[in-house]
Amino acid sequence: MDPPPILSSAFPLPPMGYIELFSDDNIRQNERILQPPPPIEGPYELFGAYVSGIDHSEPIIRPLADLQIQRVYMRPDDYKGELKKLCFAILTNYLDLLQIVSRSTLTPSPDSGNMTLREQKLNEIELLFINIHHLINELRPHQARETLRVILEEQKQQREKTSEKLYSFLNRIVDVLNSAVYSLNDLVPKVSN
Amino acid sequence: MSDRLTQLQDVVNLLADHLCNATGVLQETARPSRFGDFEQNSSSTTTNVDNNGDDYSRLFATYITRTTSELVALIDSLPTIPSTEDDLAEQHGQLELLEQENIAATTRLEQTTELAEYLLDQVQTCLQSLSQALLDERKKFQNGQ
Repeated sequence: MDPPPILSSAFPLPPMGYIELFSDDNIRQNERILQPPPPIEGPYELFGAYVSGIDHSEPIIRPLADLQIQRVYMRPDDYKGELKKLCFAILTNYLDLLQIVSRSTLTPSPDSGNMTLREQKLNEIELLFINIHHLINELRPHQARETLRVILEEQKQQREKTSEKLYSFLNRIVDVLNSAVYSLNDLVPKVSN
Repeated sequence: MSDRLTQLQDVVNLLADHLCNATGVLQETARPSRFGDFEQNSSSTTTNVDNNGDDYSRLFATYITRTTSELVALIDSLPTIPSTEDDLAEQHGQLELLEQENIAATTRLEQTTELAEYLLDQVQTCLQSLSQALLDERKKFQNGQ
């Protein structure tokens, strides 16, 4: 008789000490089960840097552009119009930049004596791009809510459809059983004892 | 196929890339400009065509205008976005209503599943008793014979 083959796996064994805590007896008693740790409050360490917890009272999902960067677009009532205005502003500023660069690169600008006209125009274009990205990011929470709405709707439809189908199946089963019982009653002769 | 906002951001970045590349390439491949009245014996071509015959300025102009029209088309295709407080409250109300309906549908499904399990139980019991009766009959028949 050959000795039984020794099973060897490429993966490490599961943590037996941890699994034994969740034996059937323990689950039935429901006392000694390891509870999951509660969510951390306050700042915690993430990839070596300290991150503060999410503050749900303020709308931190879309932080204000007034933090460090000037806001260029008007009040966000009409997102599409503002986006288009920013887009065309980028193009006109780019044409201005081309004109400045092709004519004279080093003239100091009249507004701010430190920077040249070219650098000022570059900063303006950078500001416009940052603003357009920020405006797009402000639409993200709305997109998240709409996605949530669609997901909830789909789940509801699916659950309702499943319960309808199951109910109709159950009715058919009951009908089949009833008809079987009736036909059985017809077949079996009545015992008169 | 990413969602529309990500596409929008990608097109904006593409536009920025085109602008930067255009300035760089045009600056590299441009012919030297003329000095004032200085006599130059270089070939005074008026067009800005490269050695290979490529007209980079026209090419980049096409790229930039095409990207901009893509951007404008994407912006126009965005759905209406609620910005007032009323719209936000309405959206919030819709979400809550959907959640309630979802919970109701879940309870209904759970009830139907319970019913189905009960019926299954009953049918299994019947089958068991039937097969037991059949076995007993056969044994009696065999013993009787």
